[in-house]
Amino acid sequence: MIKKISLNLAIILFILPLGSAAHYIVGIVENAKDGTSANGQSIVLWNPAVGIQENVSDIIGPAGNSRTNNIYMIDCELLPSGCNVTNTLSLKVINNGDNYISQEKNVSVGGFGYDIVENITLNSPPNITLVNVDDSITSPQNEIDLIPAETKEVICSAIIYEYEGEESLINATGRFFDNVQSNYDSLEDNNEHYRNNSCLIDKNYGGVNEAAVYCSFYIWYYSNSENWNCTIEVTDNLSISSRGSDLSFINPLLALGVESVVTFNLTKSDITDEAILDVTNYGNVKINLSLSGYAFEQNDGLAMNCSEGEIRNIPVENEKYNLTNSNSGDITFEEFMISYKNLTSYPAVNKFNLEYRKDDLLNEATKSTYWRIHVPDGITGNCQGNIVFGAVRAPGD
Amino acid sequence: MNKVFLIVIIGSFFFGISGIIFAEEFQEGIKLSEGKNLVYFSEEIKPIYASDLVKIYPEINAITYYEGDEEKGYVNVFGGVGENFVVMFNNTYEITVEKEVTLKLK
Repeated sequence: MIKKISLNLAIILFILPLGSAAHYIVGIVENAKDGTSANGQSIVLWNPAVGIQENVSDIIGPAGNSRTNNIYMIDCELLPSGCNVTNTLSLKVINNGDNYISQEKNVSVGGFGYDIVENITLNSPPNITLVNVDDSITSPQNEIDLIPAETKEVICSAIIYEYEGEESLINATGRFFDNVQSNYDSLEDNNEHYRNNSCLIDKNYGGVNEAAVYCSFYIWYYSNSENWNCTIEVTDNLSISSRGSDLSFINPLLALGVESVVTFNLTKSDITDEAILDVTNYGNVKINLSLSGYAFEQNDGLAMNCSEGEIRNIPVENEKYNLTNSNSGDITFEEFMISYKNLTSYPAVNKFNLEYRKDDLLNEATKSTYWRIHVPDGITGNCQGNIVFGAVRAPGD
Repeated sequence: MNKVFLIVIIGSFFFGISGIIFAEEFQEGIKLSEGKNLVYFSEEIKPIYASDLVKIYPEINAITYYEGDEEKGYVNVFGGVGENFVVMFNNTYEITVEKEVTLKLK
């Protein structure tokens, strides 16, 4: 009796659509060309018509379903939507965090117990073998000298070994940042972080697996004096990136700027109107001022030489300055003597504490200095002299 | 026996298996049809590793065994891959064959 039932059922079941409880997708994943084993990597299978969000995965090698080195074995019927003979499925090795993945492969589902996928090779991430960052002055090495009030070109270069061939390299970027105040992910800032998103990839360099990368950065004079890190990131055609870095030190830059000519107007008394001279820090450290004056040559004891009159020279001590406060308007000789400090023939260092520039958009690293001259009797005509401004590194910078 | 029989029948409807076989019905051997066959070994058979079974019967493509919710499979490719479980009586297996074959396991 049972035999009859089972035979009848067999007839019924033969004409049912052919689906199944298990249909295996199997294949080989070859080790990466850098020698990294495919065993232990994860591979996913999905139906592109449904989307990768529905997938089944396996671990390649002995730890996975296949129990065999470099082989995976996935039952496509475990996909939430199952799999049918008409389906084309996709597979790829996914990133476990070590940057080893693969290209996608497709396989058509057949009518028997399994289908074999074309061999997959584990992709090797680009290998950055050497990074170097420096300016055009190569000696001493790893030191960068900035240029006052300008930018300095810094070149960061790297040598890349790409196991899949140099043509696999599709992009290179570089970041150059203060290794103390900033980091790779910080925002761009002229004091501490520069980026180049389109570095040059020179595929003519070396053999077919080698390339050189060059990233230029134009570094402003007010970049921090610290150890700086250049990190180059190269990306291959599977969007896998590798990074390499090098350090270089940006030297302190002491520099300042003032207007080249200032005019002292003599109106009512024998003390000129207050002249204002703005001093700008064009370096990357906080500065004090050294000041001295001369008429003809340094240490001549004069502030100015005049064209007419009985006395044709103004002594240097008659020229005075105040580095903090303005005293505008008419002042008495006593006020002049109290409020201003004598200029000297020799450089005198004065506390000024002028910070270097921190604002990328507006140069705020400027402070005013205030000047007057007491003109002795007997001076007429035009007078000319020189004030020498020097930058001295301020303590606590 | 009838209970197991019923379960297998219902299961086969869900899975759409092309063949359903009770081993005890084939004293002279278990005849498997081309494609997928759901096989219940209701009588004592000599236990055999899946790898040995596919060596003896290379027509077998794959054998699948469900242990609770866990699926175990052995595929006759690349010299045999998958879990090399023991095929024994009182268990149900899905056996896929590339052409008709008769298993003689006693």
